Amino acid sequence: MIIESFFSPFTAQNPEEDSMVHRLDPRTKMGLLLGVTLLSVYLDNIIFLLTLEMVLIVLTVISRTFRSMMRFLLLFFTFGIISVVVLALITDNLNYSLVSFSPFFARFGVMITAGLLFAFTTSPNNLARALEKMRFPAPLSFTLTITLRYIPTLAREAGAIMNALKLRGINLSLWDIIRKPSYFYRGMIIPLLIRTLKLSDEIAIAAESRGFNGGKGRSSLNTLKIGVNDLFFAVFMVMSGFILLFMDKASLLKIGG
Amino acid sequence: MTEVTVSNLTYRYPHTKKPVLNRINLQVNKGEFVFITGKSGCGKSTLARTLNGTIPHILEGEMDGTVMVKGKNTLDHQVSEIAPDLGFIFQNPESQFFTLRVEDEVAFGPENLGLNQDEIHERVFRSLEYVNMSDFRKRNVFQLSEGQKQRVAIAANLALNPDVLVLDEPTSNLDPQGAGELFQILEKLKNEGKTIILIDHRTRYARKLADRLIIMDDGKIIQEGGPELLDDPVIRENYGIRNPNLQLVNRSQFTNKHSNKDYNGRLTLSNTSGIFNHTKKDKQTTCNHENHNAVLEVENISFSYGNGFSINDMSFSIFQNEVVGIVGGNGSGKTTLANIMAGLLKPSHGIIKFCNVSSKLPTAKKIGMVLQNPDHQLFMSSVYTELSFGLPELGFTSSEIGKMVNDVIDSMNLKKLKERHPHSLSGGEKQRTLISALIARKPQVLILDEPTTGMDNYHMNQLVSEVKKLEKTGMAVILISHDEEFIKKSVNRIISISKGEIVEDKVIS
Repeated sequence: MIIESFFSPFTAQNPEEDSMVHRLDPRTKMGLLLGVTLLSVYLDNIIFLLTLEMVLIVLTVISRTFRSMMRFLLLFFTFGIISVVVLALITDNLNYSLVSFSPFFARFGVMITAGLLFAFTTSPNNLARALEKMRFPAPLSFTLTITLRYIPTLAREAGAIMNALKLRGINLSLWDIIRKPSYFYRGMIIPLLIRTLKLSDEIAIAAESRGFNGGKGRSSLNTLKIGVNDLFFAVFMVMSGFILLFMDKASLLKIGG
Repeated sequence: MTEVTVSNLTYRYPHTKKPVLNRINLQVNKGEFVFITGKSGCGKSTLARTLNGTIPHILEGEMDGTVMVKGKNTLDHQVSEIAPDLGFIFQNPESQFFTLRVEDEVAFGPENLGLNQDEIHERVFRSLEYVNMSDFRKRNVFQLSEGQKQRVAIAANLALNPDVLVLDEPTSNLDPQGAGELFQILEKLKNEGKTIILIDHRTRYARKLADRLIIMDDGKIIQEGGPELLDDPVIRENYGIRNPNLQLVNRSQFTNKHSNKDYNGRLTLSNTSGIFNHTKKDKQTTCNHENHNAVLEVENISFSYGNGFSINDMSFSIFQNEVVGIVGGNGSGKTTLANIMAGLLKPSHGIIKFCNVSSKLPTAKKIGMVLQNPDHQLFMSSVYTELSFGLPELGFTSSEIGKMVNDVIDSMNLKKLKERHPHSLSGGEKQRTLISALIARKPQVLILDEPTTGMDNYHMNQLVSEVKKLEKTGMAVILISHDEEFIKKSVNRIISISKGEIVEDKVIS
């Protein structure tokens, strides 16, 4: 159940409740993802990295995916805090630990948030259309989008297997996995593998039964178009990015000077 | 005019000696409604898979003979080439959804054909209107009910405009209301001249609609005739076929609280003699068992998924030797309630008591639950080791485990299967193994969630007798099911729920 709800944003996108971010062309969002990733590499000052993270969080709130996003981010930042504490204990120097790890985790936090924002607000179908527009080979774009579509299905399968284990009295906690890895192998990996194989057969049969022949000559119900909203959004994000970059470099010069 | 011709068809799955289809000959004419039924494993689903070319193009094996669909030999044409002529609807619609939105899903087929945008829009509009799903056009497919999902799957096939439709156990996951709606669509399609080949265990609706009945056994067609053959009890007994004329419990138990129409547009009431209703107030006393031997008490349970669906303030008790059927339509909250009772979900309010005490012993020792899909629940490499899986975690010693496993092997008649790999067993055998694995630990309560999905009459009767055997041991058995026939044959009490609330609780004397 927990695993299932963790991945629910991939399938719980309700088209009727689409936000402004959902309605952006996937290519615009791909541009945002690429731009934010590059920017996070170039920004040195942690204040500006956190500002960038805040901008993405605002977009998450607008797109109504904040709760789902926080599940992933909390997991990530918990891992970050544990790493800082462990290094601080080893080196007996909290300041060193913070200085070493903070920019690293801030950067990855930005990249993860941007990636999840893209995944939570882009339907697999629209992603396929965008990739086709970008002249990606059809079989490749179809495989990629089907993979995205079936992530929550696999999560649901894993959730059902975990429930079955619980009913036999086995709770697969991290400690149990360390103590008895065979339970994880027998209890989770083998049944999940069997289900994955069965599912892949079902997908292949269902796709071909609906006339799919590798994506050759496919047409589309709706045409993707870069609209005015996309342009406004792109201009706003590019300008914000440049301002952040400029301020970051200016703050570095100040420190240097 | 013949639409489908199967000539001398024999097929073996890879690495098997025995053919699963043995010299099948079949002709289906334009506009005909053919109903194919028979025991589980008789080869009917395999036959369906040869009709659209899945066999031999996707599933390998050894195939002799020919299958012609509208003049196309399936050996020479890929599945995708046959798709515009023959639509295929599967048991589980969710596994065949490629997109998230209803209209995208229906458009998937026409898009694959490379049709222009106007034509795709037109086909999507017409198909959704046909299955009465136009209002759901922009909805997420995963947020639909099971019945609605199956209607979308039909629309997705109709959008390809095939003349022949093959449906492989399309009602397995549907409650009677959903099944009724599905058959209304099939009736409309039949009246418009579509050729329909239906493979199913449920016979009630097919009896009324089918022009021809085909009964399969052991890979062969052994009976062919009018649907009235289904009325013959000898034929049903011999070939494991469900009774089409069975009327059981008040059908409103399976319908939505606020929408209680069934396929016939009426409520069917039967066998109400000896049934007495319980109101919420007198529930504790009316399920009265003089010695108050309640093994499971559900007290004011509430639960919410946070998506609008919730279970509200449910209370009831389950007693020793009781076989309780929890019934209700798809999405009524049956499985959620079972998950709460089994300890898989934590209620937001209320408590669950075992034998009048809230003890902290592991729940798995006291309550066993068999989930719907056996593939999720089989972990080991032999039936014998499967039966002992998890027992050490519950604190049993090796000598205790040895005795428990041997006892259950004897009582559940598993001697012949004990060395077999659990995944190599048939559906019924897998389920028997799972029930055995749980009853080995002698729980006070055993829950079976939709245990008869896709089950023929023979295996259903076998399960009924297993349930009766468990009842005699003093165990309380809870059956979550929308299989009316199974419920009628098995239970001595019915709890009916709708929209997360108990609407009726009655003991059947």
